[in-house]
Amino acid sequence: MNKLTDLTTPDPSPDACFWYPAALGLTGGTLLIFVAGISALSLSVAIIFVAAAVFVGQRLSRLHGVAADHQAHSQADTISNLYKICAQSFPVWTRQINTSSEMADAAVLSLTRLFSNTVSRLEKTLAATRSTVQNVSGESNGMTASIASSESDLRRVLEILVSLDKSRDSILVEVASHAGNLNEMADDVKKIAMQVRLLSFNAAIEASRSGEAGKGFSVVASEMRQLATLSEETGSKMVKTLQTINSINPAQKHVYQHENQLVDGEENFISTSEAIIRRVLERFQLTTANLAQSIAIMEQESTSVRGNISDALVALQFQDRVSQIQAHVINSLNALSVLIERGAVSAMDAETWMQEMAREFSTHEEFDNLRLKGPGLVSKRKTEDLTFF
Amino acid sequence: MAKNILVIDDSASLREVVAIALRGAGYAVIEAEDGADALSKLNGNKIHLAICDVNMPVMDGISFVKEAKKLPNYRFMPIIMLTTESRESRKQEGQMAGAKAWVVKPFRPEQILHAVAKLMPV
Repeated sequence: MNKLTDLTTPDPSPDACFWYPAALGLTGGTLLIFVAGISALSLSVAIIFVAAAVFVGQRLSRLHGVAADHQAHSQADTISNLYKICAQSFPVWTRQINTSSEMADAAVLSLTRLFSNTVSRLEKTLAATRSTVQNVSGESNGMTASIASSESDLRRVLEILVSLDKSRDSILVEVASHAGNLNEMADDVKKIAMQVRLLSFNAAIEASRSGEAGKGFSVVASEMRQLATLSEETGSKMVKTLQTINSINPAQKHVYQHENQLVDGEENFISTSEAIIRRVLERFQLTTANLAQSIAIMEQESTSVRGNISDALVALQFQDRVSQIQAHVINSLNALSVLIERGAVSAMDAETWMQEMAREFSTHEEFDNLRLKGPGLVSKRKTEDLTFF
Repeated sequence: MAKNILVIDDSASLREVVAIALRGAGYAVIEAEDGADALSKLNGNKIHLAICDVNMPVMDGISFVKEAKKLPNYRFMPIIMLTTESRESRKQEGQMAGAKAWVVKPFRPEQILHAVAKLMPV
């Protein structure tokens, strides 16, 4: 049994300590006379019996009085010591709570600022990621659209090259055809010149036969001969020119053949280039698709990170509530300390004290604890308490 | 131009938490550690909205709302009370003083952003 319980256990009074043995002695003496009958001996024994009982009662009563005095002194000492302990302990406890609260405050503030900095940097990274996503996969001006547009442009260039190649082939064929026609025309001119020369010879013979009358006709025959000579010279020149052309032709044919080879080479080059370009573009598209996929994963992760940030921001608010609860405990300790110092505890009843203490409570947990409701843990209340006025 | 929000709370860590949520949404944040500090920071500055704790030293949140409503330039400034106070009587005090919303801590960032978006003047 502890001291506080000792203080509250009722003890027998000093009167009871006297009267219990005295009554017992009186009863015993009366019973002796009743049993043994009235005689000098029985009366003497009964008187001795009662006197002994009174004596024992007096002694017991005196002893109890001493014990009661001692207990009263002990009770006063206990209360006095309790007051002293409380008066000295409360300010220390208050300071301890205050110190721990400030330490927690400083740590949480530091953590919050660190977190704030991290969130800020994360936001910048996410913004850059979003920008990259738009650059890579944007429908109008993204990288994918740019690749598609480049592919289309390259294909147009290749088509133009193929078309130019075909045009050059047809021009060469046409030039060769005109050279053949000119050759035929030169032969025709030479044949006409030969015919005219024969005619002029015949005309000169007929003119000499005709004598004086054929002199005029002889002049015409002479002019015709000159014309034939000129025509023949022209035909010869054309033939020479064509011979020159023909002499060039083998070289031209060689060049042509070489060009044909080149053309074949060019066609091969173009088709090879087309294949290479296609492969490069396909690889590029694959890389872009992979990049877009990676970015999509980053976007998903960023959404998840946002959720985590939101949860962390809720968790970081614990310090505010902890500080408030601790501040209220400190205020109560201070108030009780003042009451003790002023010796005014006896004037304060417990119910009024509890009401005063609860006046500054604000959190759900404090009210739950006041009602001794639940295990005294953190409230599981959902964070949905928003009211618009 | 980012809109200015005055965050009033005696807890520096709580102010920081609110500021993270608001800055992330593009708002500019001005901090004050109690009602009196907040009144001094109102002085002539363009503040579009205030988020205010209730229980603070020097000047509490309800008193700040009453004082702010007396100032011509800030009479219509929306004020959101952000508090651990769960008592209905305190909530009614806030409403009577002129607050526009009451949010009980702990809050989710989207919760406070929803309230800000709804009350922020256009």
